[in-house]
Amino acid sequence: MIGTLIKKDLLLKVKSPGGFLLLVSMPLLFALLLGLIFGPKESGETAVRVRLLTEDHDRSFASQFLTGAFGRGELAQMFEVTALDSGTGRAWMDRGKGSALLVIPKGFGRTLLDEKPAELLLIKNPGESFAPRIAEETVSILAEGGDRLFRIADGPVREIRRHIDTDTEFTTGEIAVLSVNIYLLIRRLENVLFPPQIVLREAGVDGQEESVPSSVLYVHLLAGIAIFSLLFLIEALARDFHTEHERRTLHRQIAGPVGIGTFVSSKLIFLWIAGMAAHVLVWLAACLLFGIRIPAEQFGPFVLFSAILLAALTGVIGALYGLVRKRSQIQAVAPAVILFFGMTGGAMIQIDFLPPFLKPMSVLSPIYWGQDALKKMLIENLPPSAIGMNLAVLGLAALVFNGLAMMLFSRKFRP
Amino acid sequence: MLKVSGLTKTFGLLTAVDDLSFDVREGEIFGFLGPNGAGKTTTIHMICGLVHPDAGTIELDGRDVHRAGAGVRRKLGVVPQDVALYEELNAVENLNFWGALYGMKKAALKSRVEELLTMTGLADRAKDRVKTYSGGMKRRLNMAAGLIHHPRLLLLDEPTVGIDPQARHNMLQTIRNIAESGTTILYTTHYMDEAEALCDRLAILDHGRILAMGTQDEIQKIVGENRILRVTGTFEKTAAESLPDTLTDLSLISISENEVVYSLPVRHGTGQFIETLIRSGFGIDNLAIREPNLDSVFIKLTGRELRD
Repeated sequence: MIGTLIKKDLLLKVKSPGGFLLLVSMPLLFALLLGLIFGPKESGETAVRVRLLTEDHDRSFASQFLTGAFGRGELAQMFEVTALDSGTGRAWMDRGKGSALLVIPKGFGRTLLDEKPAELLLIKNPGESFAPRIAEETVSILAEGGDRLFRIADGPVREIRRHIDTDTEFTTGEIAVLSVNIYLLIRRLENVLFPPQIVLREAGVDGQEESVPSSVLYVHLLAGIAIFSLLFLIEALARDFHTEHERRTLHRQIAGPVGIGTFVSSKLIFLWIAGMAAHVLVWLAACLLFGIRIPAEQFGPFVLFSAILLAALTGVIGALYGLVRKRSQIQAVAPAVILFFGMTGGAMIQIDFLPPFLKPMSVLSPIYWGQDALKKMLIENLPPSAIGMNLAVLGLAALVFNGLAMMLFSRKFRP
Repeated sequence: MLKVSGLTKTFGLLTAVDDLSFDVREGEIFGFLGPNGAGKTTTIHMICGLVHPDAGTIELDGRDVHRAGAGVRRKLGVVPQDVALYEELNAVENLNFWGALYGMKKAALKSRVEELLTMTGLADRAKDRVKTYSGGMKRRLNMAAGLIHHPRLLLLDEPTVGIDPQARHNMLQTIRNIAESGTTILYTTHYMDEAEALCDRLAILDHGRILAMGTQDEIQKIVGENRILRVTGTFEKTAAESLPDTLTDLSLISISENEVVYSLPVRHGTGQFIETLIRSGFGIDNLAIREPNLDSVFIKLTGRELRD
């Protein structure tokens, strides 16, 4: 009987395909749009340029080493560095002219020489999602590298500190020796200073480096947006609950051999099928058009994850529909709930940029768990066990919310 | 076949159905005649399981409809008052869906669909979407959907509401055809002429209670061979109340500020009645004389007309 009900729903959509196809292709349109804007380019460069503003209050060797690092090697391709006068950075940020502002406080170099903890201030632009995060991670890596440098280069550092303390000048020979020692140290630490996280290249299956452009940014953005748009799609299709109620076809079915549970199950399964179709379209397009690769070892976990994710999303929307009585109510409540999930789940704004009181709520959003699992599978290529928690949470949500939907609808339509 | 005992349903302070008891016999058309709000639809909803009664039992072939659930409901065919169809689908697709829900096999379903489309006169529009149908065609298809699985008892809830006279005539003819094919029908209506034309037995309902029940002859005996005389105008209440004292066999049914209703055996002419009215000081704006029929029974029982 559930098969008959689902077949009827599919037939109804086939008979009026316009709206249905538009809805199902909505996540695909998002994927295409994101792909065109942020997708990997043939040159291998990412589309993102991080506009880094710097305010160097210290102007020491250490601070200049730090700011200079952004203008070298691969970082130079990614960062557009603008050095500002002291006290002007905030105004630039307020005008949205930077992805992030790095403030190096006075005494930064001396603190390092004294082997004490030194602080840097990074102000991120909340209007951008990815670039400030790149800036944050890069500064963090450079700071760590610099810290290691000063610890490893203990000899040269002591020499510099002695000259500063005694206020004596370096001889030409001393400067030459010091420079060579520091240069050799930097060369040795290059791998630490420029770790693989910021090298936007992918390694081939055979271990050789490929010229395939990086897909990290695209997957990063697509993961959240795709799940977010799936929620909207499922919500739009769930309106059939009300349509059947208003057209009295629901009553006619219940007056016949169809139980309420059977009716609700068929609707939830139909939503799952439609959502899955949209989900498959999104990732098919990402793979075929934008070179996203689902590694062979991730294919099984990806399929399992997709099935559970869609079940969770279907359950959440189903429960929401079971909770409210009228179409007008759901029209007000559903977008608000989905936007909340999108906001807290990281689909719209990086979770790091959320106000402190909202951050803990991220775990309440299925988008958070779905996005996190996709990144682990498709960006980090972690083993299946890494998404165990994600699957458990989403699976539990699927069980609880689908069960809740059944219960609420049974109460709602009970004779 | 269907036995209803002590059926009661309240919605808040409103008692929609009040201790209703009746039975529907195999092969008959049993009518529920009553004005809007009489409790007809609520009773139908309780029979088909959409509304749970507060008290009373409903048995179909000796089995409690609410306890036995879907197994018994399969024997019922429900034709709701509103057209409950998928308007994006055509007639065949709609009937196939409703038939499949009842587990009909493909071959049997195909022939049943053809049979019903012929019976309802929709065969030539079978492949058109329902949303292109007229109101009458939709109602006929609505009825066909209730018949698709050969129900033992067909519940027809005001199937002619909102359709034009020609379509109504066609619909009544279709219902007669269904009855002739052996299907038992429980038919609700607020049209007296429909009840008179179709029903073997009927119950007259008002405010959730059965006022009278039986064959049409049995029910009409309630008013006997009496005409109903409805006088509208200006009059003294005491004069109106004392009028039966001055005219033999005249009975007062109801009285309000500007309207009074009497019954008078047909053997008395109405001329003497009118003279008596004038003599008693009535300022007559209107005088409606209704020959004995189901409507006059309703007026006799409630003081109101069915359409009130």
